[in-house]
Amino acid sequence: MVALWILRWFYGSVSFRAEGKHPEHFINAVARSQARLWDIKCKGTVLTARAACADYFGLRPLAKRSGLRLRVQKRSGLPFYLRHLRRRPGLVAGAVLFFAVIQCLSLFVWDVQVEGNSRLSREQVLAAAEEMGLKPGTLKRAINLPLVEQGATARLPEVSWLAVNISGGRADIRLKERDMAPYMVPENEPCNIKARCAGQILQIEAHTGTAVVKEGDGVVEGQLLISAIVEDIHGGSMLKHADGKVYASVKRTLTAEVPFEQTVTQPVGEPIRRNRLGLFGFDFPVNAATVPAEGYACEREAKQFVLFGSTLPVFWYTESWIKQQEITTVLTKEEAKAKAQEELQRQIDELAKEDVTILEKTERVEYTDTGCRVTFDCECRENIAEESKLEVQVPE
Amino acid sequence: MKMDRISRALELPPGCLAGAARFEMHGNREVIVEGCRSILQYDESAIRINMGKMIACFLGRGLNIKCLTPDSLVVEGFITSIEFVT
Repeated sequence: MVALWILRWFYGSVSFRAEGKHPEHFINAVARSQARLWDIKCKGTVLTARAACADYFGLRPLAKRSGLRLRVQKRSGLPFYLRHLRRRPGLVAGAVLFFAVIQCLSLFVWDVQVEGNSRLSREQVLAAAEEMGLKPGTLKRAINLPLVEQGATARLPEVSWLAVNISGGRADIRLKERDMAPYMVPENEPCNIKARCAGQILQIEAHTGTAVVKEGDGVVEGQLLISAIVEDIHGGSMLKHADGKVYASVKRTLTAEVPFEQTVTQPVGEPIRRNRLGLFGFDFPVNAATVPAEGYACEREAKQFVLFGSTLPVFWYTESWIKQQEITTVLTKEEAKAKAQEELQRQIDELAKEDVTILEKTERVEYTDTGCRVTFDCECRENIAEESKLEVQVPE
Repeated sequence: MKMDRISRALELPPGCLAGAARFEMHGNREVIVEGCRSILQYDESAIRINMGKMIACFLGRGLNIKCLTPDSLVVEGFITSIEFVT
């Protein structure tokens, strides 16, 4: 029924009224002429009905022959609506232009989405795709999809599989990241464990190989700690890839020097704000502010518009330019010392990440004409084991 | 008669092969008539249709022809009786 209504609206229809003695004659004549009528109502000598726009012109002679007078009551449908629009050429031109622009814009890719990345950033994938010619604003016909897929996969070694699908104005890059092989101890390469630096042994964890030092021993740099030679129960020996951890007490000296005169860059004055509208890959300035000369720092922010979950090729860029001024300040001795201690604490935190524990520390503070130097003499507990490859010569 | 015999043999409705009219009724509110020739009488209380070999008359209240094509029509309204004149 809806389809019928749409068809009738599309072709246009005329609602008319026929008045005469024998409306049945007119109805029969219309039926014989292959014209179609609907909503036929008859009250005495008055007949009202609707006919297709194209059929109506053929009804007049039939009505005359049947002795009826026809009068149009209402016209409806697309043909009459379009006739009405003929008086408004601007509206028609606007509609035509709208569809032309839509058609033209649909020839380009306006949004590139990345799915399946976890270790790789979206920007890295987009950069690889851009190198292969896929970026917002590219003509769809100019994109060679197999080439983009192969090229982007080759440029991203972390990717094992990558596919590009274009749907409408959007390109979807779907990828699968490669699962890297875990580190395997190369069993066929014999090696010793030697001391990376001098110290006193605190703990030995020999996983593979034979420990040649014991807890409490003092070792020097390069001394053998765990030997690759392992003896079996029969007295025979074999070469292994020695593995283990050797914790030793090691002396370290950490130093930080802070000059009294400090030059700091500080923002000065009100920031200059520039706004730009990015539309289909083109930027349009929104306000009259220009890019300032040197000595300004810029903070940029880009906001992409989203409509019903789909990102649009419309960006709003906000730039905030603020003048930077170098200010020289003079620190007091206490301030310089605190700053140096702060720097040393940062160094200790870095060492902690490398499995180094500070057992004991002594602080020395020295003041010079220009600054303050703080030194920490530390006794640390750290793993001093270092693999040393063993060259084996096989007799001919 | 021959056609009726063939229809019976094929287990088809009688008059199906002879080109008899077909009526499809939806309760007493609407009837679709196929195989009509012309309309003999049309007003709100009676619609009389020439079906070739017979005349069908629909009686009721508020009757009107919803749709008309060269060989079929749809009558709607409150149909109280149908008469056939052969």
